Amino acid sequence: MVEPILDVKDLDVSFTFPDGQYKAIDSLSFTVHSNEVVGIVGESGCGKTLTSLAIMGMLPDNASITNGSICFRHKRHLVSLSEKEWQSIRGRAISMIFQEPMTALNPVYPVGKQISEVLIKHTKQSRKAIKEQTIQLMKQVGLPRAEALYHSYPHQLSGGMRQRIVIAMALIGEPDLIIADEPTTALDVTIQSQIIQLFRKLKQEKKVSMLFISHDWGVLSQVCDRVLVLYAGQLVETGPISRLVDEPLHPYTKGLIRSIPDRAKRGEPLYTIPGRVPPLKERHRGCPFYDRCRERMEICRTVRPKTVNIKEQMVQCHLYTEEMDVPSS
Amino acid sequence: MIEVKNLYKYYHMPRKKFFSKETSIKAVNGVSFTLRKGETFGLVGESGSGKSTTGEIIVQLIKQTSGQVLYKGKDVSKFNALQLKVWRRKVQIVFQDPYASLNPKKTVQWILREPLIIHKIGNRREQDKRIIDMLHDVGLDESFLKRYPHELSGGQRQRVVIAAALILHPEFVVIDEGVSALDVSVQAQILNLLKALQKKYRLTYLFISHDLNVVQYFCDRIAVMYLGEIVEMGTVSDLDEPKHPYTKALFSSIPTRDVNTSETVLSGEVPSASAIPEGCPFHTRCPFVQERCKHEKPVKHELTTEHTVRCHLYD
Repeated sequence: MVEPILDVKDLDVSFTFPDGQYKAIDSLSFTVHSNEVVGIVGESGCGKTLTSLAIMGMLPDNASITNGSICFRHKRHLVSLSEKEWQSIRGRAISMIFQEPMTALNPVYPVGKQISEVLIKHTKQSRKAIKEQTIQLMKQVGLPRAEALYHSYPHQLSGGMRQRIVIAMALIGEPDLIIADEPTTALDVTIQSQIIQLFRKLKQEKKVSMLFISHDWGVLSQVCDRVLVLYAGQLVETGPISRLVDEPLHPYTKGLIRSIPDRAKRGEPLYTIPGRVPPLKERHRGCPFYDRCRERMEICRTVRPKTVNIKEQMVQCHLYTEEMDVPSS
Repeated sequence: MIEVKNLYKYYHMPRKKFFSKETSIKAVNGVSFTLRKGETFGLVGESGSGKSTTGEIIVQLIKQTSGQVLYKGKDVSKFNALQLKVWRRKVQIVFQDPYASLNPKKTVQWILREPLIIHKIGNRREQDKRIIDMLHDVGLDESFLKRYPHELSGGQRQRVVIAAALILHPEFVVIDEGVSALDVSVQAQILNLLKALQKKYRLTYLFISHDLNVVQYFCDRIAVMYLGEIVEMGTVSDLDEPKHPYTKALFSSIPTRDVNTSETVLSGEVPSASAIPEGCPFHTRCPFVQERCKHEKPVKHELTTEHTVRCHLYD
C-alpha cells in the first residue's frame, strides 16, 4: 500500500482552563492519501476546525496537543516542530482555505499584490516573472480579465471571486495537502457550484490532496472520496462518501442524513436528533453520543465503544461487532 | 390576506461628480404577489436579489419608493402611528442571527415581557402565565426565565426569538433566513417547531431563504427573485418542474449526492443592482438568450392560474 501523505494517530487536543484540562479532540486517527479528498462532517463544536488547526500548527494559546502524532509525508512529525520549521511547511507543503474570504484577504492591498507576496516568499524570481505567474494562477482558478483584476481591492470583488483569489493563493506553493474549511458555505448556490467544479478540476488536473471540512452532504458528495464523521471530538464513523450517505451505520450519521430537508420529505415532520452537542466540560466516559442516541443500550453509558470495521466502513458504536458482515439496518 | 402590488424600492447613490447623472440601486423592481391566510410563502434568490428588502417593506421597517402593501384592502404605508402600532402586533419578523436579535443584557423573561408591556397586555400575573405558556410552546421551560442569551445554545436562542415574535399572537410572521445559521440537526428541530406553531396559531409565514432544499421542503408556494423581480412563481409542486431558465439553473445548482449530474452551472455572476441589464435582467447569463431578450422586457405569463413565469420563451 502507498504511504499516506498525512497520517494522524491517536491525536488528543486539550484546552486548559483555570479549573483543569478538557479534551476537545479525543484519540483521533485518520489518513489522507495522495490525490484523495477526505471530508470532515459534524455539528459545530465537534472539533472539525480544531483538527485542521492542529495539523497547521495554529492552535489557540490555551489549546495543546497532549497525545498522539501527526505525520506528514511519513517523515516529519508535525507535533514537535519549532516555529521556524513550521514556516517552511505552511503555505508550501500544507495550505489552508477559510470560509470567509473577506477576512482572509487584506482589505488595503490589491489582490494581485497579495498573491505575488506569497510567490515572493516562496520563490526567487524577477518581479516581471512573478507578475506573469500571478496572472497565470488567476486564470487557472477561473477569474475573468485577470490583468484588470490584478489591481482591484478585495471589496471590489464579489464573494465568489474573492474565494477564487484565496484558492489561487493556496495553490501557489504547489502544496501536498490543502485544508479547506467550509470553503463554499458563504456563497450563493450558483457560485457554490462553480467553485465545486473548480475543486474537482484541481483534483483531476493538479492531483491535489485535500482535507475538506463541510456540513453540507451534497457538497461533500460532489468533491470527496472519503468522509470522517466527528462527534464531540471523536471519530464515530468513516468510509467512502457514497456508502455513508446510502447506508450510514452510526446512529449519529443516520440522524445527520435523515434530518436534511428536501422535497421528498414534504408534508412530514423532519427527523431530528434530540438535544445538542455536549459542552466540553460535560463529556463523559462512555459513548459520546449516549445522551442523544435513539438506539442506546446500558453498556453505552459507561464503556466507550471500540472501532469496528464493516466492509469499507469503520464505525465506533456498540451496535456493531467485528463478526457482523451485514449491518442490521 | 396581504397583497403586495408593484413594489419598488430604489436607493439613491450620492453623485461622484457635480454634473454626473444620479445613479440608483434598484433593490426591488416591481414585485407583486398575495399571501393567503395560513400558507407558507417562500421567497428565494441569490444575495442581492431583493428578497430581504421585500420582507422588510411588508412589515414597514423600511418604506417603499412606490407601490402598495395592502392588508385587508388597506394600504399599510398610509397608516398613522396608532394604526401602525396595531399592525405591528399582527406582523412579526424573525432574523437570521438569533444572537444579534436578543439584547445580551436582558434575561429571557424580560425579553418576552417587553412586547406585552409596550402593547399594554394583561397585568403582571397574566403576563407571567403567557410567557411561561409561550416558552412551553417553543419547547423550553421555566428554568430559562432567568437566563441570559449568552447562556443559551444557538438552537435555544432561536427558540427564544420565535417565542418573542409569537408572544403577541401575530397573524403573520416574516422569517428572514431564520434557520440558515443553524446546524442541520438543530435546523430540523426549528423547522418542525415552526410547522407545529403554524398549525396551532393559524399563522401565515413569509419564508425568505437562499437554501433551496429548505424552501422546497417547507413552503406551499414559492416565488423566485432575480435582481429585484419575481421571475417565476407557483406552488411548490409547480416549481418541481421549473420553467424559467434561471429557476432551472438555480435548482440544478443544488449540490446533490449524484456526482454525475449534468453541468448546467450558470456562468458569470449576478450583475450589480445599480446597472440592471436592459430587457430581460437575466439575459447576460441565460443559456437560451435570444436577440429580443436584450431589448424587450418579458411580460408575466400565466401557465396555470398559480404558475406564472416571466420569460420570452413562453410567448
